[in-house]
Amino acid sequence: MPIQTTSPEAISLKAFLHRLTTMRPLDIIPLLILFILLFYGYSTWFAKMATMFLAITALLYRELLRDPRYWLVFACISGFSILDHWHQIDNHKFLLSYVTIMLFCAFSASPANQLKIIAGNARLLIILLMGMSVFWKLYSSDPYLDGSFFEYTFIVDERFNVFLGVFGIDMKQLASNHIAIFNLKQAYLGQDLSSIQVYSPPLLKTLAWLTGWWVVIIELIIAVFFMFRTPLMDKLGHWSLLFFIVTTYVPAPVYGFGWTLSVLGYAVSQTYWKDYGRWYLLCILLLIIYEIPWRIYIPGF
Amino acid sequence: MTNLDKALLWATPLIAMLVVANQFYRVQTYDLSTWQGGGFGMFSSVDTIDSRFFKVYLHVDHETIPIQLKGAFNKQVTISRAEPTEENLKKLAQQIYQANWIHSGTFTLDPQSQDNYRPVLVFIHKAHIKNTEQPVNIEGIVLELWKTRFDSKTNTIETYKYTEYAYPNNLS
Repeated sequence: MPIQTTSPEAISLKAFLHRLTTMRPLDIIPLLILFILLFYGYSTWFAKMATMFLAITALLYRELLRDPRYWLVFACISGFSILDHWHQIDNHKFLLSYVTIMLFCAFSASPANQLKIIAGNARLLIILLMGMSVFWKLYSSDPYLDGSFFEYTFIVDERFNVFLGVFGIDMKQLASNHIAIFNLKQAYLGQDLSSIQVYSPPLLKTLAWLTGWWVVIIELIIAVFFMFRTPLMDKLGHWSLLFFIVTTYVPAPVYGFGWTLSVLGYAVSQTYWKDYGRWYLLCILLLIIYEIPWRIYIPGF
Repeated sequence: MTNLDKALLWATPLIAMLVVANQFYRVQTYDLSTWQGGGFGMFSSVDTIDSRFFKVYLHVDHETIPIQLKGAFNKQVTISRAEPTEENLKKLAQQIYQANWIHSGTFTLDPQSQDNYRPVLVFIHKAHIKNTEQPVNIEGIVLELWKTRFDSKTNTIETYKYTEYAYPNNLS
């Protein structure tokens, strides 16, 4: 593939967005997946080394991004990484692994069917992901819909502190919660302690209740809309998924998951609503902006 | 679409479904945390790996001493917290049993009997043992896996013992 050259005066935000949004799907999808593997990939040493090496190789030989053998190597790397840390690996790493298998399968197929396979697989993966996520929320033995799950999560998971700080929740009290929980787990070494009282103001409870319902509703409608495979339902599905990506990754800093969902959404958009693809690409740019360390601007940090 | 292309179309979803089915089975059978195993059960339950924790006790010279597991034990601790099968707990217990534990030289108050102090034992790698240090003779190990629950009405986080594993099995 000849290398495209650009004169410096032609580089502008408009030109950048134009080039980004007019790239062919079969060029941009594998490229974005490679970036996800590089930025948010597997933490095993062999996966890190191999990903860096393979990324540099693809930079020199761009045609590799459409070579099934290239993606088979990534599928094997991700598979071994998952097997090595099966009990602790996050769900989005499983999803990323399926995407590498998907690209291997797609580029092994005849050229006319490659995009169809990617778009079809992306749709099924989104339905499975959202459907199972809703299933576990409702099937779990914990009371989820009364808000107590997210209330507990907001109390114990420091990743949500920035989100809670925006609403004026006391950061020092939240930090005290984290210390108390740590001490509760270590208590048996020096004292007898089996329960603690934590700081959870009414506003936190309300936010938790709203978040719980919001997540379960949006995930359910995304799964249902994409299931029907009609232009209208797909349109609704895309708007729901875009809204999910834009809102979810503000409080939940799982950006690799957001990137992967954006690429899958982009792929599904190639079925009926190709123009929506650009919104998913803009979502990825937005997720980069989300990584600004906002916590330094929150009072109390 | 050729038959090969059709097979390639369904290969990835099929693999994903098998992983999900395996995760569901293990949640039901081995109490795998719903967050783990690739079944997309994230943000669904307070019963995460982090909310499960171990209390570990060594039996040394007819005394029961709590210990803290760090470093070399992390991987097996995580596996056993995620999926507390008897096999996983046994592997962890064996790893602890075979490791070298020495007196740290410090003592802590015994919460069961406030007049007593008990020694603090620390794990030490075989290569780092000095000539003057003698690893303690472990008679047995008790692993307790505890879980956490949250009461929103009283803002209380409570812990409760979920399971216990003694090693060797005849440990009284």
